[in-house]
Amino acid sequence: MTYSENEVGSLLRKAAIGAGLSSGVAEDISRAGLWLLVHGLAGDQAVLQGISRLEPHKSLERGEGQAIAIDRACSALDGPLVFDLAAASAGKFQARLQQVDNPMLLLGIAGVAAADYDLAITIEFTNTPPFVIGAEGTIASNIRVPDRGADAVVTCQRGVSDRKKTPQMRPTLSVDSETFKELLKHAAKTYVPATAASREKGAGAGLIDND
Amino acid sequence: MTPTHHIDPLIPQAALRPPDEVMRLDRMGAFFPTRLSFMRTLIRRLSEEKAVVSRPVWEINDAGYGHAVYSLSLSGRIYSLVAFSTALPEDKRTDRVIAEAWDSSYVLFDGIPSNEDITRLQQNTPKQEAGRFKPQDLILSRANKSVRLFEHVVECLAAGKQPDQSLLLSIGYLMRTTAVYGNGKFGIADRSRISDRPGLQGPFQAEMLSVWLTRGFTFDLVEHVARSRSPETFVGLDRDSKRFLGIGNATGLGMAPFLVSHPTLINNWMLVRETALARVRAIPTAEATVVQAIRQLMDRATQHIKQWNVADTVQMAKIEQLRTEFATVVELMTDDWLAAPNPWDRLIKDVSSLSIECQELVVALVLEPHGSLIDGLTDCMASDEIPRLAPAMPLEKLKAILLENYGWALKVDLSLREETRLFWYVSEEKLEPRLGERYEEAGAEIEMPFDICRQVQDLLKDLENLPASTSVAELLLQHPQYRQIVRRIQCTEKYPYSEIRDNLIAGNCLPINMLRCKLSFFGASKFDPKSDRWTRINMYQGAPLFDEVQEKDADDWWLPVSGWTS
Repeated sequence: MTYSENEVGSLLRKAAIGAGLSSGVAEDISRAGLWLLVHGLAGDQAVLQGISRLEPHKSLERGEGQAIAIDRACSALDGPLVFDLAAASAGKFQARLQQVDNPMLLLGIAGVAAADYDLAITIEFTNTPPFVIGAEGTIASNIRVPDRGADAVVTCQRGVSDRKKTPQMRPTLSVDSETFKELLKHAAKTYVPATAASREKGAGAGLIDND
Repeated sequence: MTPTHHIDPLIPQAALRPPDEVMRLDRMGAFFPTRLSFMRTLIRRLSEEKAVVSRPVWEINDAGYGHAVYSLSLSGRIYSLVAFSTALPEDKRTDRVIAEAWDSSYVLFDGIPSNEDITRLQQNTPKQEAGRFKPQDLILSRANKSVRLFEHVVECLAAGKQPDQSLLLSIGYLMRTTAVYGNGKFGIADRSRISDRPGLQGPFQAEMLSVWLTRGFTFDLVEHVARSRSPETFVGLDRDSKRFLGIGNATGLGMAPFLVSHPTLINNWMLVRETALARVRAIPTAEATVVQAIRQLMDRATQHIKQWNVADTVQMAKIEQLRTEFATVVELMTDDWLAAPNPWDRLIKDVSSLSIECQELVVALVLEPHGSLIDGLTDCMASDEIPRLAPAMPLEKLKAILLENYGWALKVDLSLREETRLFWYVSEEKLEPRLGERYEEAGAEIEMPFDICRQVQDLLKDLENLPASTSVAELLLQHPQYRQIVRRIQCTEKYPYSEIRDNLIAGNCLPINMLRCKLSFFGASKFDPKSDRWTRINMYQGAPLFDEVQEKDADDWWLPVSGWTS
């Protein structure tokens, strides 16, 4: 089924919060999902899989400068932080991510970070041709993205791309119906049953409606 | 921090009122509509373009049920309002957002709808949230009749009489909307579809267009039903009465979070308004034509607030004080007083000891006759920018911004239960924002992140324990929960009016202030609070009719008064 960009973005954000992410991280995960969908990739499924199993990494080591190595990287939890470090790095930045739980979501997060931070990002998954994402938002979408557990080397460089306007959103985004239902379940964890007291104070309350 | 945006070196400008003064809920809750408001901007454009509204479809039966289409060209594109009028059983009539049926429902359509489009919309529009829409559908809304006034007007017109003016004055609309949806809701177009279109680039211009066309439909509908009831004796509703009738609206908490979740947008609205005021304050002498205009506007404002009566005792007390104080403002502005240098700057300073309601009425007043100086600023009110994180920022800089722009948050004593008594949440039944009592109701553990004071204070504690040269990226590596508040704080550096500077979870937080602020930017008037959480308003009261929008004075409808026409 097709939905508006705002509907999908809102659902992804709420689902991410419902799954346990902080609102700030959830915002970025939602944008990552949208970025993938706009580029013809399954951003809805990437987010659903990414938030369904939020396991913290096994270890995180800092190398020289800002370089970082993460074992059992969780894309939703670690992805935004990796690209934050890249943006804060004066020169070339590299992250070694082992056993990435959700390579597709990592790509989406990279897409958003590339535009936000003006980064040229290369992600080399094991046995896969490298993905190159420019700040202008380009990515080849006909390449197979590895499954869960792939290792990745992320290389980032600031301010080297020919930055252009972010591509216009599509009129509608196609979301798998089963995925949509599962996302709704996560989102529902952010809802609170309204009390009688809140209903009595809501708009239109307390009036004779026929006035 | 001195806000410096929108400064045009060729246009003299006084100092802006600081965010610590402007972004307080009690002041935001005293705003009046101005010539910068979105309805005014739309009508000015329609007037400049000499827009003509046509009604290509009118399939309404004698009882007033059926559908109609209104079309007009705006900046080279055609937009159409597709209106559906349906019978509504009395037991289904409610203004609550939880309603499932309405007297009328509407879609603002991108272009001219085909028969297939109308059939599709006929199946979905009356269902509102339960329907499904397409990207050609720009705005979705619904409205209920003011049963008292609608039926009274029908009876009078059918009998060849004009309606009771006192009833028109006390109600002010034939129908009131209970929701106007845009930006992708239920499958309608995302804002991005129209955000670069001339005529709809400004904030809420599509929504405002939809409501203005809806107002015209209510006049056609009431006259159609009256004519059908008694064609021999029918008379049309007179022009002055139509002009005074707007579209009512019941607005609740659903609108309030918007101001928090769109920081760059709210900054632009505020900054434009404050920049306009700063430009007017810098005018060295008042021109004779402006003096003449301001005197007429003061008369109109006096009449308007005299006709503004509400049941809410708190708001009514404010209005009564405003009447008394505004009379002193009128007395103050003698010819000699106005002839002295810098009249508008002196005026703003002189009224600073009066109530905030009076101060803000005077702000709106002095903006009104200075369109040529300030109207161009409305081009700067839109923003589709998402606040970006600045990961390289050293923590010493983040801390400096925090201390500069969040002093108000640090003063809040969060150990007092009263300062955390409320929490904002999304209701399960209608997915609408609500306010709960933290210490009495369940759900606070999943509250919306509007506890800005608490987040700021927590962050500051952790900042004290980290080296000043550490980057924001390193902070977030250790404390990812601060991602949102850091982004908000960084945003205030470039957008100083982006944050409401009050504790939104305090027991004394009045959401009605947020509603009035936003609605004043829409251009609504006659705020009629029904509780501290929802209000009725009137939109387009006094605005030109379809056949008046081409006229020269079509923009002259600030603070409408019954019995007055421009």
